[in-house]
Amino acid sequence: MGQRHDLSNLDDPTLMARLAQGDMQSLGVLVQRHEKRVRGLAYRYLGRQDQADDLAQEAFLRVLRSASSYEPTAAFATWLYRIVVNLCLDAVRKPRLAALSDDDPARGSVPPPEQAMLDQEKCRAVQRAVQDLPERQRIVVLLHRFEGLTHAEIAQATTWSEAAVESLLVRAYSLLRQRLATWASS
Amino acid sequence: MGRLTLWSIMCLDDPILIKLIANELSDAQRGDAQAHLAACPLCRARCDELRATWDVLGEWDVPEPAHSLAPAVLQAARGRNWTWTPMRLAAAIALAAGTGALLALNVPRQPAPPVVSARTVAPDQVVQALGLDALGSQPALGDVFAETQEDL
Repeated sequence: MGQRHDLSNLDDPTLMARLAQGDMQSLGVLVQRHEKRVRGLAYRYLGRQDQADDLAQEAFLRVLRSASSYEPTAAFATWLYRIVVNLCLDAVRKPRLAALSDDDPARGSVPPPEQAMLDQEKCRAVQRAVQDLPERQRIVVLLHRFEGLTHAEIAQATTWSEAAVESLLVRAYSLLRQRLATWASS
Repeated sequence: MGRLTLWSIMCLDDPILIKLIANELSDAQRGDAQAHLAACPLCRARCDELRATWDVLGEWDVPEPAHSLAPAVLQAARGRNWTWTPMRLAAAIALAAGTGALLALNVPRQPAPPVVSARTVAPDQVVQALGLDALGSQPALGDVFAETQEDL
């Protein structure tokens, strides 16, 4: 058990089976393989990198805790998204305006060119518009637009019906279209 | 979902437009939708607005994290590992046994019985201590008992 093997070629269900037997190296591989999507979803939902990383860490610890009961009936990523979605919906909302400035990469540096400033402002506008959405609409938009999940996959990740997912997406994109009309036409 | 057979009569609804832009429609469905859009300026305008929103959303970049979470996750996992394997269970039992043994070794000892030398005790005291006086006879202790010392 103390020897390190190259597990990067193993698929997710196999890694989960090894993890259920106590192979922590498998957990490390799963983290490296999926942390980008987990952190990305958490960051876009919460708006703060530190909170997103805390949430992501907790998500992977839940993966560990559930390893012995995990059954590969759905794609591992979908199952992982369900954990992340639940954590997002349970997360305490922190002030997002402060988070936007805290995460501003240009703060304190040399003023960037005009186009870069416009791009940053657009990015902030998008972030603000998404994070102003009601929680369920925000979740489905993040999963649909940024994580590339289909309606069916979103339904699996959220345990909501496909009809509910469809309705949430319609309302979310409608709101976003209104709030980002200026940027969308530029 | 089958072909969009009513596309020539009714406009495309929002769910269809969303799936079209997200590339979730089958080839046949996409063909039907695009044929309708070519003939319907109203749906074409709605589709263009939705696509523009889709594109501007895509400009929201997430900052690339400076480091992987793997070391922190593994460290946290070591702190609260719920999985029990035969090896870990054996280690836990061994630890419990070792702890029990350590506790036993640390139990305060009974005070050692005093060192007794027959030379310092009178024979009749020995008889009384051994309960021999109840037997009614007193052996010649000085001949029977050698010097004894109990060292514990």
